[in-house]
This record gives sequence, structure tokens and C-alpha cells, in this order.
Amino acid sequence: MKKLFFTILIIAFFLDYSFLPMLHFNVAFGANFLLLVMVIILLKRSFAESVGWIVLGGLLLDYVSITPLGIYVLAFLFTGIGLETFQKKLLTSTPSAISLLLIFFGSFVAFEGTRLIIIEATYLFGIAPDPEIFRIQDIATLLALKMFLSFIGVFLFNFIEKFEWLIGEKTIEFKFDRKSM
Amino acid sequence: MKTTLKKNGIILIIVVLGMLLLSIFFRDQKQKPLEGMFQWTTKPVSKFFSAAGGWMGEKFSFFGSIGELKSENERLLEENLSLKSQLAKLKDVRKENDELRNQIGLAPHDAYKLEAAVMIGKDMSGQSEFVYIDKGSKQGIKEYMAVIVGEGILIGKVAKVFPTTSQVELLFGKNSKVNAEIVESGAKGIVRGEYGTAVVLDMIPQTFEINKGDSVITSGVGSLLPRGLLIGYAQEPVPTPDQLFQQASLVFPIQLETVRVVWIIKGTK
Repeated sequence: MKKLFFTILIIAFFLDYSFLPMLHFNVAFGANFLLLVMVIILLKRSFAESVGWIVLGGLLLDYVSITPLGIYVLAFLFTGIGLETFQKKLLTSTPSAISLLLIFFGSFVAFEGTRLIIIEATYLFGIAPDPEIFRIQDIATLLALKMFLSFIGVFLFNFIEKFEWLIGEKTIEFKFDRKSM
Repeated sequence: MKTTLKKNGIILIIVVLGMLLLSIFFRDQKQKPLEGMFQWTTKPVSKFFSAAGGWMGEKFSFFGSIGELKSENERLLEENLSLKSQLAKLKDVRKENDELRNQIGLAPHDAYKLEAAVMIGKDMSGQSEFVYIDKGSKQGIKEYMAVIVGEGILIGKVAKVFPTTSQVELLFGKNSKVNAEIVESGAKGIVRGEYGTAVVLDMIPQTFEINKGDSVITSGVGSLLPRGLLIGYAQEPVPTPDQLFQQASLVFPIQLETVRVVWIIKGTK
């Protein structure tokens, strides 16, 4: 499973960094596929088990962006914590496509929000450059893109669930925890 | 449950502190630690994915334009006839152009020492202000060198140089500033980027007239950028808030999103 995660993570990184920008879509793609893979890993692993992947994915993005080192790692970390809390509180053993869609979409929006908040915060401490350049230019396009990616995320997640026998490892079972509600 | 939360909390604190320390420690350095090595390692795969993306992008744009081919063909036939007549006139103009270039010191395209480079990736911050190219210090690339396409259309400057790759700041980057001149009036000003969305010609004195469609070129003052590189065409001018100067947004002669191969000006021959 580790090799599979690693391969998918690296492919997602190069898709975001080198492949998609050359398709002339005239959209600032950013870290979309990598984010998608990170959310799938976070759904399939506990937060503690995912930290290594979070740091790896975050550092990959940090090295190809003008933000200071660590911004993407921190954004992934906080999104991961939020996702785990949300997942433990709300998800049932067989999550529906709608709830999965909401999880993906929520995670993407939370990630973008967290990233901007961290950049603003680091700017206050004199670490990051002027955060104005990272402002979101077109909210509607961004949200539409994230929704589209959420559908891909649900499809990929279900695909992995269906073929878990091929991957060779059972994924985490979602449990409905009444006490924590 | 509590143990898991405690474990998660400890991991989170350690990683957060680690990342913050990294950010603070390296904040004043121009390059991130091991950035050159990272670029060197990822370059071959980036080139492959970028080439695949470029190939697919061309196919997409071809299929997208099939519907317009008939009308495009008719338009091109008409344009061809008109161009034939213009060609004869241009032969005369070319001679005059050569003389003028000599008079005002513009270098022709073949007078530059050029290095061809391919874009291998774009900045992931989501603003597309920076791109990465596959040539670096080993090929003689230096910071602030001009990056052009075609017959001398400026698209940006080299911002960071690694051994085998470089980072290029595009003209509409927030910190991008280029000394420029309007060809028609000779007025000098500064072309600056507007947060990754537009490019503005600024600081033009009110005494000069700016007309829509005026060509804006690099003035060659105070930087590694040679004089005479085309930046774009001026739009309607507006006065600056203090009324001292005027400014106009620029239209690029090419679509920057479709550019994949660029030239870096290393000097003049």
C-alpha cells in the first residue's frame, strides 16, 4: 500500500505541476490532484499514520511555489486534523456518495481557507511575502473546480474500495460513534 | 480515544513547530534549502509530463477549433489576397525599418545570444505568476535575463537560477517591473504586473499622448533587458490618482497560456 500511495502521490504532483498547466485551460490549477490524493490517504489512514504522507505531499508543493517552506505542510496538517475529527463524529460504516462528496468538497474548501489563513498569519510575523498576491481571484471558478474534483474523489475512493483485494489491504472501517455525538 | 487525540496532538505540535522553524530560519534566503537538488531530481519527469501536457493541449485546441475551420478558411483566403498586396509595400518599409533600427539602437532578433528552453512547470500558489524552465546556470542563465518568445516579444525575467533549471517571473507578476517606452511618442514609463492578472504601463508624464494600440517596448534603461523587446499594446490611458502621471493597461501580442518554448537572451553577439 505504501508503494501505491507513493506512486499515486508522485503522479498527482507531476499532473498538477507539469501536465495540467500545459493544457491551455487558462485556469490557475494549483494543487488539485495532490490534494485529492491527500484526502483519500487521510480517509484511509488515521491522522497519525498519514503524517509522513502529509509532510511529503506538502513539501513537494512547497518546493514549486513561491510561498515560504512549510506553508503547504501546515495547511495539509490542519485539514487532516479537521477531517479526522469530522470523520469520527459523523461518518457511518458505509458512507453514502453524498456524504463522501461533502467530505471531499469540505476538505478542499477547508484546505484553501487554511492555506490563506496561514499565509496571512505568517505575513504578520514577517515570514511570508505580501499575502495580497495569493488572494483568490475567482471564487466561482475555484468552487466549481473543487466540486468537479470532489466527484472525481468519490469515484476514486469507491474504486479503491471495490478493488481493495487487488491492493491487498483492507481500508479503515468507518464507525458510527454515538457517544462522541 | 483520548490516547489517539493525545498522540495526534503531539505529532501535530512537533510537525507544526518544525515547519515554523524551517520557515523562520530560511525566510531571508533567496532559495529554499536543497531547492536546486529538488529541481534537478524532478526535471526529467517534469519534462516528460510537460511534453505530454503540451501534446494533449494541442490536440484539445485542434478539436475545439474544428467548428470554426470553415469560416476561418474563408477569412484566411481574403487575408491572403490583402497580404499579397501589402508584401510589395513592405519590402520598401523593411529597408526603412533597418535604417531606423540603426538610428535608435534596436537590436534585430538575430543579434542576440539566445538559449532555447522549455517550460517544465508552473508555480503552485495558484496565481501562475512564475514558471519553471529546463535551463539553468550550467547553460549560462543568470538572474534578470530577459525571457522572450518569437521575434522578440518579452514575457518575463529570470527570477531564480538553479544548476539545471530556472524560475521565470512572468510580466504580470506582482513584483515584475520593466522600464519601457512607447514607440510612437517616445514617452518612457514603467510596465508593472497586477497580481497575476494584467500588465499596466505606468508613470507616463501627462505631457505625452498615449493612443490606443501604441506599441510598448523595453527601453533598455538600468537592467539586463535589451532595448526594443515588444511588451504589448497600450489601451485607453487614465490619469493616476495624483494626476501627475497617466497609465494604461497593456494587451499582450500573444496568449501567454499557450507558450511552451521560450528563448532566454544571454547577451548580444
